[in-house]
Amino acid sequence: MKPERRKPDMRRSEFEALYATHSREVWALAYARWMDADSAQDIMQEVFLRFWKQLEARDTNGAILNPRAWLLRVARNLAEDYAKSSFRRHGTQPSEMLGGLQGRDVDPLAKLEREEAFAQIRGILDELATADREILTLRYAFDYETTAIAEILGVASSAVHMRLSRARQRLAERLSAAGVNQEP
Amino acid sequence: MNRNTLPHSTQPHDVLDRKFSAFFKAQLPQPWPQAPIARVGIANRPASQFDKGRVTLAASIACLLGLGLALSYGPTFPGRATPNGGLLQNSDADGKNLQKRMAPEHQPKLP
Repeated sequence: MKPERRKPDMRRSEFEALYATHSREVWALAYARWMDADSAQDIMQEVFLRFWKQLEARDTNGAILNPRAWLLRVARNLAEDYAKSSFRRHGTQPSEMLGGLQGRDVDPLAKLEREEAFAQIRGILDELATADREILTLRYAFDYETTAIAEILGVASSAVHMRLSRARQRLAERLSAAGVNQEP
Repeated sequence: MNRNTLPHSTQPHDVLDRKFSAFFKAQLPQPWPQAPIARVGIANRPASQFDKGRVTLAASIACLLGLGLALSYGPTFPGRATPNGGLLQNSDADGKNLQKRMAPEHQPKLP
């Protein structure tokens, strides 16, 4: 009995370890595509469920040689397909509501300033390419270093630097033009 | 390019970083979701656990059916049974007058 159960347990622990290591990267790619935290979470869950099925079918389909590459590729594909789903077409919330939902400010003025700054940031991010948003999400949501981002996305570190710098520049100009100078 | 130099910025670099950071961190799920292992776990639960549940369900259904059948045939209590039957004991609704009531003179006349 024990040898039969050991295999699924090993698979499960392997799965959980990979989830702990890569779920943030998967979320970041999904989020960068649509700038929607809920959709990103749905996509992330779906990616890992598919990954589990692959682990289960490993004996017949063969092992996944590079789990990170597999996960990120599926995340990008699913994020792209998400546009066709009914949820995306009939989205439950307008995009302007998605800027700062999880804030816990008690002070209404501080909350207002924060939402204004978030709206500015969202406006800038909407103008950027998805590749740039991926870098920004990994950098600022998870504090990844430039070299780590370059490794995850398979781009040069200099490109990551350049895109980060460009995004900062745009943000600075936009915030200055709008007179939003308060820190969130 | 050094990320600490921003030639045309009117705001300090770290302030911009904080703004971006605050924005993106506000988007993160709190707490971070667990691995979707719960749904996966059900699929991989050992068969014996399913069997136990099925046996319990079958026993419950059998009990309900038995109780239903017992009630539909009427309860019989030892020591209280009479020739006239349990529930209709001491009642005039014993069916003896049924034939009289069914007689033609008791039937309503149709126009």
